[in-house]
Amino acid sequence: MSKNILKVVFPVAVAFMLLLAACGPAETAVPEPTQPPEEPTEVATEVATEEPVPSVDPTGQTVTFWHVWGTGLPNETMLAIVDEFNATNEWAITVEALDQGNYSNLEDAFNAAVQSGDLPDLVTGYTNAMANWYAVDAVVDLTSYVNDPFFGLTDADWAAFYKGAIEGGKAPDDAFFAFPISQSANVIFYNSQWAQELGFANPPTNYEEFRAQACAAADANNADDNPDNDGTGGLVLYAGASNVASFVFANGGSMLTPDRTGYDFTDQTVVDVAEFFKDLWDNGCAYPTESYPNPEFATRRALFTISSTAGLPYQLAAFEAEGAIQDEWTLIPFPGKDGGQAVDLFGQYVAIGNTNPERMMATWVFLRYLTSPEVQAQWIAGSAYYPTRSDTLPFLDAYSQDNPIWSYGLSFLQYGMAEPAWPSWTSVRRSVGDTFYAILQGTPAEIPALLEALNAEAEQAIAETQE
Amino acid sequence: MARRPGSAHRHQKPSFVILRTIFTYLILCVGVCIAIFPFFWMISTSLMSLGEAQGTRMIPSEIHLENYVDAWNEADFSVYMWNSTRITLLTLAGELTFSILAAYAFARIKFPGRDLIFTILLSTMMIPAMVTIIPNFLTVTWLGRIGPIGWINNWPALTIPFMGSVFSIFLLRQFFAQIPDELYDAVQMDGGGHLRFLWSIVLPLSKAPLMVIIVLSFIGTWNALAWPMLVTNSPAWRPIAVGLYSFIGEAGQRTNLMMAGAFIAVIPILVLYFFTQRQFTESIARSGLKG
Repeated sequence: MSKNILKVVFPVAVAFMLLLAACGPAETAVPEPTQPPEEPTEVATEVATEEPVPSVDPTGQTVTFWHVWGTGLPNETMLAIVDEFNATNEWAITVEALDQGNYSNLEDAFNAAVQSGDLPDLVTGYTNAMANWYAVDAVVDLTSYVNDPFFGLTDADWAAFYKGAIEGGKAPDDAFFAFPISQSANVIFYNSQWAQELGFANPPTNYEEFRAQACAAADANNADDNPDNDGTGGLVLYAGASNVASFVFANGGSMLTPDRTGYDFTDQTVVDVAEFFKDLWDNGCAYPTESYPNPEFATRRALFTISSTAGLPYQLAAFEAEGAIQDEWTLIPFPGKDGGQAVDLFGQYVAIGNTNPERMMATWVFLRYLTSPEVQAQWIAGSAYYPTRSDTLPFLDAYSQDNPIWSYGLSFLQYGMAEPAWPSWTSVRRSVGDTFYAILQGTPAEIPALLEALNAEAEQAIAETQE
Repeated sequence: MARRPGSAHRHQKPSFVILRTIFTYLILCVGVCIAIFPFFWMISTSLMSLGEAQGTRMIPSEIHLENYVDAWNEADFSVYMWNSTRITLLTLAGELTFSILAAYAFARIKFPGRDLIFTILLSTMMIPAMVTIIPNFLTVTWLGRIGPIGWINNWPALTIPFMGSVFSIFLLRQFFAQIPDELYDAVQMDGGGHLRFLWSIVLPLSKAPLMVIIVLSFIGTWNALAWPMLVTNSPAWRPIAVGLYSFIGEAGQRTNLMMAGAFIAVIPILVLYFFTQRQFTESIARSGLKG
């Protein structure tokens, strides 16, 4: 009987093991050691001439970079930049850029890596997520790298970075955990040609003008002989946190208490936004769509839509579709109640994983390269984002001429403000969206109570993230 | 007087029968349309330009076959397709091996605590998969640390956790238990034991449930997304569903390329189902399973 068992078990076991062995351990996650360069590096030279010496030697390190630009031109551009760095850097550092899907996927993957202890060296993400990672020591404060006597930024470099972009990567205690490699902005897409036909020569600069234009467009669609577009025409409104924040910033607010230790959604700058949204909604001058409102904007079903500048390629594609109306359109900043203007800056930030000193320094060397003016210009041209340092602009003249709408958006960066880079913002921004949805569905009288409740939820979120 | 079966049907008026048939076919046609519509939408959208795909058009104004080439190239589908193939084959091989042996033991071998263990095993089916995802992740991470090869970013994390399928064990156990004891007695008289009985008698008689397991496991593994996203961070072992995800960007999604990719991804499942359709439906009918 035992022979019979062997006759069956042995072939099955062998077949199974062969199958497993075919996919054997050759492709494990363990990074291959990189050979150090045979040539003497500049470290030796620097030591000999008593110049600043590297406190940590990054030679031969392999840097894993987790990002979200997995397809299209952004992916090609990022890979080209990485290849160029790998081929030319004098420290024989090898960067491996790995796409992790969208921001949400990447956050899940990084959170899992925190659990497993196998952290990437460089990771992109939203700053509030990075704040959480910083809180658990998974990413590091960049101050010492920026100020490193050998590898750090020069004064001229530092001065060239836009202050808003740098501040967006700092925690309330000034810990600098997120570095901006580029930025985009939440802006309003505005159909200027249709507005002129409706009798408005200029973009709106305050709530009254905005309301007049949005309602005029809605009225025009209701009055024409096409019943399919009834109920459309004004603003496509998704009352999410970023859109709320953009209007609040334009009112001069920040959603934070004056001492910047907590959130304050009962501030008049927020109340004004809530009342403005409610007014537009109740009067049929704002309406929702199920998906990105690019087709609506391209077919005169929306005079205004709100989008990240990263959405420009999708909007341009919508204008190429059959049935699109080839209007002139542009970007405008968010208007304040009485004339302010602002855009919500979305930075493409990266953080350095808390691995070991040599790998972290090697990562910084790559990050410094990635944000150097010429390389940043290459990244901007491939991604349609905006630069984070002023000395990149001279390298973007040709791109700017070829992309006038992008070029026009550049001027808004001066009005840019960033959402709080606080760990609690991850859950608070969800509460903001829920509250503003409830405001749109409720009555105007309920607004104060709903915003009070939002404050309480935000306080709770802060308490939870500080535990 | 008792009516003979079918007599009522024969005595109905022809016009009523025709009406009933038309009504039946009408209902079936509506069902088919509902079932086919998502598939039609996928193919139609995969042939549109990006601008059209963002809108509400049903039929492309111009056929963009190049979307398939773009989707294949941009999302590294050649790598992902190969990964999905080897992950699926490994998982299937492991699942069949372990499920068959476990089901046979539960069905035909008496040992202390057998029913209790089987009940405990069945009760794990009540736990939603997403609840176990973090504990499973920590487990595979730990196994990777103590084992000879890493599990994260490698085939063990993608395949081994799915080789023990309670559903497959349950399905096979129910089927194996119905096989008459006399057949085992006959094998014993020929000098055979459990494994010979399993190999020579039980498995040939169990083609239908095995086919169900193969098809369901294939579909489940081929379409897996959440777990592979968690346990892989490089293209080396990522499956095709992850490739589809790469068409979703920060401020929009390239729906046309995503649908082209989805169609490419679904082809192996269609081919498998085409070849196993008869056994699959037969087994479903026999076991009374519903999707």
